[in-house]
Amino acid sequence: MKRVVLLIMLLVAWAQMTYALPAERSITVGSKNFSEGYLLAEVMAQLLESRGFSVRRRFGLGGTLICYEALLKGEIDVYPEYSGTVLQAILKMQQLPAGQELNDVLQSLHIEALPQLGFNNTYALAVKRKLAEDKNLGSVSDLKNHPELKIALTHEFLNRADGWPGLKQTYDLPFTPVGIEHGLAYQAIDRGQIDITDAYSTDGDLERYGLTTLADPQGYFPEYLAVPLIRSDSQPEAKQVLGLLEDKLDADMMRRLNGEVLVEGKSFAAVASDFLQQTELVSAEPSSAHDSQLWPRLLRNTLRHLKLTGIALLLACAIGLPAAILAYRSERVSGTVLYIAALLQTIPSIALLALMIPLVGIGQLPAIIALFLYSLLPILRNTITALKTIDPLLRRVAEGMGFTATQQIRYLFVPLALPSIIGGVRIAAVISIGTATLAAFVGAGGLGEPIVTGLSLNDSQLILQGAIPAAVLAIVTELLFEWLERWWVPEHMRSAQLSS
Amino acid sequence: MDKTTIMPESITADKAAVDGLLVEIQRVDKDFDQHHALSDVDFALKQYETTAIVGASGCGKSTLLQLVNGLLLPTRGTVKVFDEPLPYDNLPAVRRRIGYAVQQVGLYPHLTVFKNVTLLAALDGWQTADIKQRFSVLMDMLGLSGELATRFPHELSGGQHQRVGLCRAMMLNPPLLLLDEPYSAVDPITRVAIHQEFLRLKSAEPRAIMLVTHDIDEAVKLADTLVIMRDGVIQQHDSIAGVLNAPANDYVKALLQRHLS
Repeated sequence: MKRVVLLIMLLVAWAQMTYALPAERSITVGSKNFSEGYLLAEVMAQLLESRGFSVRRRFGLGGTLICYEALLKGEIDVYPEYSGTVLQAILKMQQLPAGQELNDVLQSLHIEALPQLGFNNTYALAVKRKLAEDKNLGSVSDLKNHPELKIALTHEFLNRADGWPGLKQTYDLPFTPVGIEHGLAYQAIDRGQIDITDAYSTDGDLERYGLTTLADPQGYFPEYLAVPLIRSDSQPEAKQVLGLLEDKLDADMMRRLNGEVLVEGKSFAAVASDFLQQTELVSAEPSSAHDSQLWPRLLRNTLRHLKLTGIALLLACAIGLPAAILAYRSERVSGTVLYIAALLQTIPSIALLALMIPLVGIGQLPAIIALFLYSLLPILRNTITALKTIDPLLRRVAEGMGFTATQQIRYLFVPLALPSIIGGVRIAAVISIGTATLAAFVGAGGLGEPIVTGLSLNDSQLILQGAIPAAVLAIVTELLFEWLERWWVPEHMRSAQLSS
Repeated sequence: MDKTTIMPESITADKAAVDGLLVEIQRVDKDFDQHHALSDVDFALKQYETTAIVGASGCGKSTLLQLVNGLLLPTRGTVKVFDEPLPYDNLPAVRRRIGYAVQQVGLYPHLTVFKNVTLLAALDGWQTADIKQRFSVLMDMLGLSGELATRFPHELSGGQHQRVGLCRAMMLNPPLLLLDEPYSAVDPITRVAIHQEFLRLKSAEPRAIMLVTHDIDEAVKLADTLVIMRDGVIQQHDSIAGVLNAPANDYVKALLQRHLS
């Protein structure tokens, strides 16, 4: 018992240590989990920092819905968004009601769009720059006279209502396109296997492959103007500061900046800082730290990761172990408990995290709840099974000798089941450490953060900064539990050997 | 040996409460589904009496024993222990005054010999000094070396297992001891030694004992009275001499002849 108390105290102390205090005049900047989102958010964050704000970065949130929910709940104050996305994904409108601006509609939601940054990241058709020059291609309408060109489009674009079907009709295009995966399309166009594909107009890959986009004179593609989306109740100075970005970033500039990250492998922080200095929004004196350094960041991510998994595991033990002990005697109750736990296990982790957002918002709480739910099954299953399979002779003797029910459990059955119980907690811990890497999608931080960022950048070095520590953590956890077992279980009882 | 040195003050009071019959079973039937394990059984056990319940396997002798400590409930009839009907809503208290040892022993693999024997006493609030003293007296009496105290059950021989099981059953110095074929699994040589220890124990610490066995030799050697059972029915219940001199029926006669020839 003393050992359990000591263990809990240690865990609580360390959870306290990793808890950060909020600062005055602070603002939280969020971003979605793709390269341009990170970059714009970093630009906004650095600009705010240069004007004296203390900025909390919650980058890499898993999609529009998560960012928007986080904004509504005040867990982030601002994040970069696109006007078309606001309209369609958030407001569920095809277009603005006549005579109304975007902010008129957003008012009732207590959020507002700040002045647009100056580029429209919409769908576009991309061709090789050289081909455009040779064939004198400037806009989509020029394609009509070149039915010999080969076109391959992403599956999404092919099927979207505002994608290919409408485009073909609007410009009376003579092509029958084939479907292709986005990354492959660039390679194919590079090797000359195809001539035209769809792209986002500010895609950094356009630079890499020497592509240009064709103009859309008919205005077929919806507008995706980049805007900072901010809570109406944010400090007015913050809105003013972010207003400075108005029209500072055109599509060429954005494409170039994306390219610097994607092609040249520069960090978001460095690219954002260079941009802010060039545009003289931030004075050119060398800033204190472009990017937080590798080791402190690694330590911070690891501590956060441990906090998430530790709390979840502790909760799972605190609830799972008593539940198992109460349930194991009844075939029906233990069956039901295990069934529910198994059902939870089948929900994909990303879906479980997403389901949690409307209920508890983003951040560490949904991650901890999800990890807790995943940890329950191994703990429940191992404990119930071990208690159920205790030799009936030992039960009969314990009862016959006059141990009370509580004494039987406390002094005989739980110690007998201990190797299995520790095994269950061990499995839960390792599962949690793995699953917690997904928690970065809901802004919980941890070792998933570099992984998520790295994935969106296709930067394997960054991915490894999360993956290697996570793997090390899993191994250390295994060793820790081995040591725990040594400490707690007599030698001949280890690895779940029960004498019959 | 002086009895007061081996019994802590706290439990010597037990004796006063049990002057009458220790066990009284009246018109008891026990059915398992369709099978009648016991039919219309009457049985009584006096203070300091050792009775052996003898019969072939399946005759109901083990069932009879488990009625006494409440591991089984009678289908009909009453079971009285220490002059009171068995309190089925509070069995642990009464069970601590009834020692219980079985053939397969059932020592707890995660506990040392010392812990196996003394855990219940510690939970009952005995002083450490009392616990240690009682433990060493019992170990001595059963010819077990003190070195075994720190061993785990898997490190013991079969005979040591049985003896430790017996120590455990007698740790709380119960006025009543139930032994369910405790010596059936040990080799014949060890069994002779254990029988000697049993008799020594009986004179050192007199108590009422119910001994279930299929071995009539053992029964005659260790017990004061015999209960012969067959198919859930008591054939004869008498002193050893009574049974030997006047077998109640052919079954008893055959049983005696087969084993005592």
